[in-house]
Formats: sequence, structure tokens, C-alpha cells
Amino acid sequence: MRELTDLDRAVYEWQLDVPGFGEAGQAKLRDSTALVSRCGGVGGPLAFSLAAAGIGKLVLAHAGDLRLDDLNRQILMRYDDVGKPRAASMKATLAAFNPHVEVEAVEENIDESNAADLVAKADIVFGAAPLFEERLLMNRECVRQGKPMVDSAMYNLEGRVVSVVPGESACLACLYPELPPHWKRRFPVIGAVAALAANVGVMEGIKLLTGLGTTNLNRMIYFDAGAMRFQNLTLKRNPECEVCGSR
Amino acid sequence: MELTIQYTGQLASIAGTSEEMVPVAGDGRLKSLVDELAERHGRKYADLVFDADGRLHPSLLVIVDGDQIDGDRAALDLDGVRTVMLMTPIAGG
Repeated sequence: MRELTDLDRAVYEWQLDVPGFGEAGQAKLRDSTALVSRCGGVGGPLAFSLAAAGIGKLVLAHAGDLRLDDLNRQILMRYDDVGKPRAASMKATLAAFNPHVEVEAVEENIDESNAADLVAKADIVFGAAPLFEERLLMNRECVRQGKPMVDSAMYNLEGRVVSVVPGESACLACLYPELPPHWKRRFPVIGAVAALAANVGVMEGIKLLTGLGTTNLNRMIYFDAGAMRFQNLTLKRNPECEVCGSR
Repeated sequence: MELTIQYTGQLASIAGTSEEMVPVAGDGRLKSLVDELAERHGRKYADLVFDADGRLHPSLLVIVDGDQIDGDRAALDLDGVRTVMLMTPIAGG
């Protein structure tokens, strides 16, 4: 592992003081690549906080352009980005924010044709897609490749974060063995709730990458911002899970 | 005996609340309780919690006093249970 540079020490000075993190944690982050799918209300704050923390490389996967009705939660995009590809807009913002983070913008959504290659690029995967097909596909690929995944999801005023370490914890398919037929891509969202789910996920990811704190495996962090109720729920692996049951 | 039901996701939207107190119904098993709740909250609610055969949907997470219930969830005895949380999958991103 390469030592931190003087610039690293200057930029990250305040977080180097976090007990249990220090220079070793910072170096692990700098040497890590994270895949974020997609560039939405959750994926944007995810990428932003990972860049702020000094992740080495971000791979951003998202097909499609920014629309006006995205702007209540797209904190890395601006009005004059409307009509432009979201992944590229996010890359430009992140490059200005922290030029020491390498950002690869992939203007594709996760699907069967690219999931294996995109997951292979990463040390950790952050799931923030609006469709279960994509989340479950990333989950399957992470389990197959033995990569950790943090799934951050929200709806209305509620958020859920689940960390998956293949072979050690329940995976998304343990929890959701069948596609929920009534889930729709359009959902109620206030940007701050999406960002909260994202940042809980970022902390879980930083812990998984660096060994900071306690990993939250076989648990779901659940919050209801309406009541400001936070719960850490216990989950169970499904020994008959078609994705991870044999690992 | 009463217990607290916590609704999440679309269930909370349909029920119009994220929490309510309900009496334990019928034989005191989870399935009887969910049947009762589906009757109370209508067809949209039922569509989310049951599969096409009327069983608890495989992707409905049932959390009892903070712990996920697996195995034969329908037959879970609710005696002594304080809180049942019903979680339909969400994927807002």
C-alpha cells in the first residue's frame, strides 16, 4: 500500500483524526474503486460523499439525460445540465470538486451484457438503481465475484440500507427472492431523504473497505424520516437462496 | 391482546399511516393477522402482501420485534409479540 502524499494529508487532515481510520484507512480508500449504479437521488450523494472521503476511483453507471423533474434530488447537476447525460454531468461536477478522484462515466444501466465487467472493475458496489432488476443483477454478480455491495434504497420518507458480503451475510435475493410486481420506477421522493439513505450507505461502504467501526452484516438500517425513527433490524440468510445459498 | 403494526413503503401509503395498534386476530397466527389487515385496508394492500395463491408474498419482509422471521412465517405464533413490521420491497434510487 502506497503511503499518503503530503497533499493527501493536507486534504484529509480532519478525517485522519477519526479513531480507527487514520492514514491506513485513508490509503485503503485511495486505493479502492467503487461502482455506483445509478446517478440519481441516491447515487449522486453517494458518489459525492465517496469523492469527499477520497475514494480512489468511481465508476458511475447510468444511461439517460437529466430532466427537469430530476432536479429536486440531483445535487451534482445544474439547470443547464438538463438534456445532457447524467453520468457525464456528475463526472464533471466531481472532477471540479475533487480532481484527485478518478471518475469513469459509463452511459449504460446495469444489465446482463455489462454487469460482470462493471462489477469486475470495482472493489465495492453501491446499488442505487430505481429498478429491482438492476439491483438484483448487481447482487448476483457481486456474490459470484465475491465483492461487497451496499444497497441503499428509499421510498417517500423512508430509507433502507443493507450491506452484503458474499458468504457472510444475507444477500438481496435472500430478502427479495421474487421481483415485487407492484414496484414502479416513479416513486415519491424528497432529495434529503435520498441523500440520507445514500450517506448511511457510504458510511457502511467506508467501514467495509477500511475496517473502521463495526460492520453491519445481516442487518438492515431502516429509517422513517417522517417520524425520525431509526432502527437496525436483524436479517437472516436464506440457506436455500438461489444466488448465495451455496456459498 | 394488541400489538403494534408498522407499515413501510407502499403499505404505509395505502394504509395512510406508518403505525397502528391492532388486536391479534383469529387463531393468533401471523397469517390470520395479515388477512385481517388486508380486509381492513383493501385490495391494493392485499396485492402487496399476498402472492397469486393468497400466501404471504415471498418478498414481503416480516420483522417481529426487530428480527426478520423466516421459515413458516404464516404460522408464526404472535403470543408475546409487541411489534410486527411489514416491509414491501422498495428500490427508490
